[in-house]
Order: sequence, then structure tokens, then C-alpha cells
Amino acid sequence: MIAEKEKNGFKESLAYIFSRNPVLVLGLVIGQLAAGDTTLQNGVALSITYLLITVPVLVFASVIGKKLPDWLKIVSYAVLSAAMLLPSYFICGSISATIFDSLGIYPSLLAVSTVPIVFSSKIAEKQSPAFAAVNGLCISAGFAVTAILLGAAREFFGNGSLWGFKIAEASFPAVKLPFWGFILLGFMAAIINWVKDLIKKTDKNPDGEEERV
Amino acid sequence: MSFFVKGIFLEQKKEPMLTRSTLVMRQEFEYFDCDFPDTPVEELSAKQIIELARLAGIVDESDGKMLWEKLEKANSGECGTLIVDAIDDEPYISSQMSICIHQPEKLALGIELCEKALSPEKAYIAMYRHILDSNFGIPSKIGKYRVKKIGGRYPAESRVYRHIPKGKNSVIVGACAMLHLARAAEESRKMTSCFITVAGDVVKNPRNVEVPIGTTAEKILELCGLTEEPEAIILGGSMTGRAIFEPENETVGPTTRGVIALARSYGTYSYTCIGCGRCDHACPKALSVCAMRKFAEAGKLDMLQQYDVSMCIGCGACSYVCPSRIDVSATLLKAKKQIEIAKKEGTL
Amino acid sequence: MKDRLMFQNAPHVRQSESVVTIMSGVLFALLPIYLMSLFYYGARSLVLGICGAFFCCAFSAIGSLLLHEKPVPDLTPIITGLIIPLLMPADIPYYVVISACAVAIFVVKLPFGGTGSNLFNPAAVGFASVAICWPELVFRYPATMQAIEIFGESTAKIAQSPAYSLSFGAVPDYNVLDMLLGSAPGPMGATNILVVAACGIFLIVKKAVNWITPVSFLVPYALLCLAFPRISCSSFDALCFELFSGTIIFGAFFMLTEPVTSPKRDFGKLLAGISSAIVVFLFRYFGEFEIGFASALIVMNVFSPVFDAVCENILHAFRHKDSIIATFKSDKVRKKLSDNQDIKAEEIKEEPVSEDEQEKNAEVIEEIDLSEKEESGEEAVQ
Repeated sequence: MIAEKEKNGFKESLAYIFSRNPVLVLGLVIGQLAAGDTTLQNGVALSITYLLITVPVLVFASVIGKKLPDWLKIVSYAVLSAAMLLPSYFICGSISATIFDSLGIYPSLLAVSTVPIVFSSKIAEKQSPAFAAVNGLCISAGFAVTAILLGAAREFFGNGSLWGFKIAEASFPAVKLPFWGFILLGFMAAIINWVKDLIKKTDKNPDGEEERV
Repeated sequence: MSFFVKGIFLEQKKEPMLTRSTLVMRQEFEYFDCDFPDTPVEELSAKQIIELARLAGIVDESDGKMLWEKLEKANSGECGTLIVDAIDDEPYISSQMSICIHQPEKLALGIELCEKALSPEKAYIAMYRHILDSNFGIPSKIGKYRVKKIGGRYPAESRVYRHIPKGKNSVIVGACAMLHLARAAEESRKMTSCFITVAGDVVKNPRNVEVPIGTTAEKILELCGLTEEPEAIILGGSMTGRAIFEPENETVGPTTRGVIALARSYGTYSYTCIGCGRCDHACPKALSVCAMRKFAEAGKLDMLQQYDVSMCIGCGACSYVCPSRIDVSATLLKAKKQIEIAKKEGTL
Repeated sequence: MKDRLMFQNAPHVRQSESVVTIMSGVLFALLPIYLMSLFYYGARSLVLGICGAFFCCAFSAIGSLLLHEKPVPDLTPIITGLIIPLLMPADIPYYVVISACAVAIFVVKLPFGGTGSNLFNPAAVGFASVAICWPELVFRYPATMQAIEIFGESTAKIAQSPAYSLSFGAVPDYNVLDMLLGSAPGPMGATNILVVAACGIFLIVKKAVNWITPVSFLVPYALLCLAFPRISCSSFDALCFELFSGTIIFGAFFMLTEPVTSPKRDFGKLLAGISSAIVVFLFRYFGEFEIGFASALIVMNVFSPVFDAVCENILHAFRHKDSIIATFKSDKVRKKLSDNQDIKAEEIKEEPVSEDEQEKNAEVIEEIDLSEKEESGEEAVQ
């Protein structure tokens, strides 16, 4: 029974990449992205951090979560996700030595965001560890797509560079402001909605033609 | 501040109607009733007066109820205040005020009879006095009754209720009904006519007329003459009445206050709401009209209920001030009806 | 007669004032400011204004084409396009103005639903964005009384603006009269304080603008400047420099009062004015850029629905005051009943507290009654 349910569930968890994107559709960690994700490197670093936080916490929740008393659950998830910041610090250090300093408070804010704290205790505890791991992977993949696209766009228009290499002249430095981060995220969400509508229309259109015939 | 200043200033345009006396449209036959008691006016008892109102079939023009029912209901309890409603706060409409100015003796007699029937602690006449046009004199006393001038901004009728002492059974009667009561007592006449204001910018001879109940709007307009073909004919007040399309079929009733012919309808506008907030300031009930209109357009009935749309009295002040000419008032009234239906069905 | 009759909804008389008259009033008030900048900087200022207005209109027409909407005759893009160049120096390149207009229309106005639903002030966001992108162009002010070339690179003499001197605590080397008349360098439209203030008062008299917004902004701002001066000179001079430098006066009359993004009720406008005065002051006191006003305006625009909600909640309580007082009283009765059941010693301790509360409650009720009486007294002229 459970296995069948989870087979259907895998399709749903794949939806986290696009149609249920954690940032653009569910609106989960908008603030951290809008403020911190100003270059491609920052985007990649944030994605790695998010991956390292989400997957272990969700697996941990599905394995041990039920056995823990209620008062200890959220505390232990928060402690674990905060502890996972340390390996991400070392991994991101290989991208650029100062990347964690330039990101400031935002990686730490990721550690106490919705998915590691609430999603884990509400949903992941009822899932099998493997399924929880897949869920975590898909969620962080959705996050990574958004973060990398946003970071690349803002770096290109703001600094005229990609991954630190100068490509063109900086055309619009204002996009590095958080205000513009929110606006760009809004545009991306609008594009996703538009694409979803298009898909719905193309699904419906054949039916309509049949009716006409 | 918007917390305490409510309502709007309106140009009243009442002078031409008030300076001329009431024009009486000839009735085909006068209806005298022999059932009326023969006792002279001074010796009528309270019960006889109520019976008189019933026999004469007098309808109170301010709320459309039968006068004798109102009197009987008030007579059974202790009556605190008797208020004679002569508040014509809508532009053009002045039929009640013209009675006060041109037929004060008859009106005073009617009030005296009514006072005899109810024996209230005090009785007064409430009239609307606009600050901007104070050229015509409003009498300070009619007979022995004081005229209380209700001043200020447009929806004035709700303000009358504030002067009523709390916990007492007070009665508000219309001025025209009082006149009909006096006629029934003195001349034994049944109520077969109603007082109507004919006005508007294309009416040649704007004045108050007394016409038989059931006269068509077309005939009334013919009586006063038109200078130009109107684009809008309104049955009722200029703020709350309804536009009619078939003036030859629409008849006036005892609660109809006026027939207004306007040269131009205000037309349609393609502008959206710019959020200036004038409707919020104009609302006499201090409702957040601007937000409510948005909810009404989105169909959010629960939010509308939370914003107290049920308190809307439909005065039309919000639509009057709207610079984008949006039908705010109509939208809200529609939403109010929807909520009432939803409540009945139990879906809300 | 029957053919001509039209349908219309209930109030059959309408106010003569319409969106067109309000907006044309604002346009008319912007005209003298352009004339003053024409006098100080030559024809380039006029061309800049025409350029801004044209491109804003063109962009919104393109937007309505993209959205498959019927283009509506609308004066708001013209106003946005005329305000943007007035916040900039007179020798600003045209592409800066055009990109500000593009940001204002394509980013702030159209995505949120066009005229009437924009969340931020379009002119403020457009200006702030280009000010961050080209600070060296936007904050380099030419000296006054020189004709600037209409096209091509500007060769005008550059002068230090009072706002810039203030930002690092120096006393500007202009006297107060210079700043009033606008001969101090600065943004094209915001330096001639007398003309701007006259236009603002014209708007207030014409009722295109509510007087509460500028007053509730300027008075607290002046008080804050008096309390925390940035420069060491006589307090009157310091106040004048603070008020007349930058875009404070211009913004208070023309940008803060934009109907779409400001709260709807007077009380909300008052709250918004006071809080934006505080935010503008903080931006100018601690910020490096001179765009304090525009940034603060963007921040405060977010809060105007909040102020509306505050007003609505207060009024909601007023509308239901009878039922609220009734429930309050019934709570009191219940509390007393439960108190009586307790031990006497506890009762003695709690009694003074409850008495105080009762007094307060009575005071509140009295106040409400008084306000009612005052109201009815005003309205019933006897």
C-alpha cells in the first residue's frame, strides 16, 4: 500500500522542481534569495547550503522523528540544520574563500526556514526515509534552479560578469538591490504561471476540437 | 477629520419649486365618503382619529406604511416624541417642504390631530436646511409647533433619529400624511392624491404638483412642459430614484417623491478607480467603501460582511463623489443583496 | 422621447469633478516648475520633460497592446513622465530619463495592473533605480543660469549641491534666499522652493491633493531636523537648508500625495505622513546617497494598506461600540461573580485593580457619549 502511494508520490515530488517550485510557487524562502542572491556564485553557494540542510533534516525526521518527544522535535531539527551549515561552509569555501562572508546572514536564515523546521515535522515524519530523501532532493533542486537563474541574471545585468568573469559592461546595477530581487522573483513567478496556463490550454484544446467535430 | 465628518454637500436647486405654490392637477371626480364621523374637528377622540385615518386610507409617504397602523401601534405604548418628517435632503425634491411653507395652517391642524391621538411628550417638525442656499425663509414655527432645522451634509434623515430620547416609543410621520389627515377631518376627503416635485434641467416650469395617485409620469411632465427631449427620466429622488424607460406606463404612487427629467445622463467613463479615497470620506456610515468595492468586484462575500456592508443605507454619496464615475453605490447594494441571499441559503 | 432615454444607476446627479480635471490640475501645477527650469537651465529642461512624457505614454500604449487591452485615454503616465526629469539635474542624458520611464511603466505600473493598482509610486521607483545605476550622472548638478546644450554631451559648469554638502556635515555656501529662489544647484524642478510651494498650494486649493499629507509630513520632518541638526549653524538656517535641499518640498506636494499609493482616509494619511517623515529623516541622516526621499517613499508605500487597515479596525470598533461595550460589561459581571466565590483575602487584593478598570471603562463610555453629543450639536442648527 505504502509503496504504491509513494510511487505516485515520486511524481508529485518531481513537481517541486517546476510546477510546485518552493520559491516561485510556494513562496518559501523569497527574502533570503531576494537579498542574498546577487551573483551566480552566491546562487550556487546558497543552493549547496540548501541541499546540505534539507536532505539530512528530512531523512533524520523520517527515521527518528516519530520517536522523539514533541518538545524536542523542532529543536533537534533546527540544531541539525544549523550544524549542517558547517560542511556547507567548507564546500562553498572551495568556490571562493570569501563567499560565506559576502552572503552574510542569509545562509543561516536558510537553516531556520520553513522546509527544515515545519515541512519536516508535518510531512516528512510520515514518509519512508528514501522517499523523504527524494523529496528533499527535489525541493533543493527547485530551489537551485531559481537561485542560479536569479543569481546569473542579477550578476549579468548588475556587474556585467558571470562567475566573476567580465563579459560586458554593467548595464543596470540597481538589480543588485533587494527591491529588484523581489521584482525579478515576481516576474519569474508570473512566467511560471503563464507556462502553467499554456500547458492547461494545450491539454484542453484537443477536447475542444473533438467537440467541434 | 474623516472620523467625524460624514456625508456630502449637495447643490439643492430647490428655489424655483419652493417659491411657487403647489399646482393642483384636476381630478376627474372628488371622492367624498359618508362613513366619516360627523363630530366636529375639535371634539374628535383619539380612537376616532385613528379610525378617520383608516377610513381615509392615508399612506405615510416617508416609509410607505398605513398611517392608522402606525398610530395604533404607537398609541398602545407610551409615545415619547412625535416627529413630523419634512426633510427633503435630496436635490430638487421639495414636496414636503412646500407643504410646510405654503399650507402651514392645514399642516398644523393635522399635527394637532395626530398629537391628540398619541398624546406625546413633545412634537416638532424636522426640516432640512442647507447651509449654501438659505434664501427662502424656513418658518421657525408652524402653528404652535417648533421647526427643528436639520443642517449639514446630505444624508440628513438618519440624523433625525439621534434626537429621539432612547428607550421611548417615538413616531416619525410624513408631512403630506398630516395634510391628508387634516383634509379628512375637515373636508371628509379620502387620500386620492400625492405631492410630487417635477424638476430637472429640461423642465420648463419646475414646481410641486398635487396629482391623483396613478397618474403616469408622461402626463405629469406634460403638465409642466419640457424644453428639450430628456435623456434620463427619474422616478423618485435624484439620489435614490430609478431611471425609467417607459414614462407612459410608469405611474406615481403615494411614496413617489418626484419626477425628474435631465437633459444629459452622466454618461459612462472608461477610467478605473484611482484610489483617491473620496468615497470613504463621503460615506455617512463611515464604511471603507473603496476596499469594499474591490471585494465586491472580486466576489469576496466573507470580507464584505466583515467590512459591514450590511450597514450600507444606499444613499449614493459614494457614487456622487467618485471622480471616475464608478457606480460604487449600486455595486455595494448588489453585494448586500447577494449576502442576504447567501445567508438565507446558509452558504455564508 | 422614448428613444433617447438611457439607463443609469442610482445617484442621478454627479459631481462635476472628474479624474480628468484632477489630473489636468496636477499637469497645470507642473507647468510653472518647468518654466522656472527653462529660465535657469535653458530649453533642454523642456525637451527632457517632453521626452519623459512621450516615452511614458508610448510605453504604456505598448503595454496595453501586449496585454490585448483597449488603450484608455489616461493622463497618469504623462504626470509620471513629467515628474521623473524634475528629480534629475538639467544636463542628464536622455537615455537615463528614458530608462527611468521604462522602469516606472514596465516594472512598477503594468505588472501590478496598470493605473489605479500600482503598489509603488512609479516615478519614485524609476528615479531610485536610475540613481543607483548612474549615480555619477544623476547627482552631478550643473550651476544655474547657464543654457545647456539641447543635444549631445553637456559642457555645463558643475557645482556642489546643498544636499550633498549637508550629507557630510558641511554648511552649504548659499544663503536661504538663494535656495528659496532656486539659484542653488540641485534637481531641475525641486530647487525653486517658492514656485514649487505655490504650485502645491494651488493643488490643495483645487482639492486635487489633500492638505493633510504634505502638512503631516513637513511639520514632523522640520521638528526632527530641529531636534537633530546635521550642521553647526543657527537653527533657523539649518532648518531651511534641510527643508529646501533635495526633493523634500517637491516630493511632499507631488509624490507623497499620489492617490493610488497613499492611504485612503485622513487619519491614515496623517499616520503615513508622520511615519514617512521619520523614515525620510533616517535615510537622509544615516544614508550616503541623496535619494533619501525616493527610497523612503518606496518603503512607506508598502505600509499604506496597513494604515488603511488600522483605520478600518478603529472604525469597525466604533460601529460596533454598543455590542463591544455590552460584551465588556458582561465580562465584568462574570468576573465579579467569580470573584465573589473566591476567598475574601484575594478579593481585597483584587478590588482596587478592578475599580480602576471600572473607572477607565466608565471614562471610555463617557468620552464616546461626549463625542456623540458634540457631533449632533454641530449638525443640528437650532
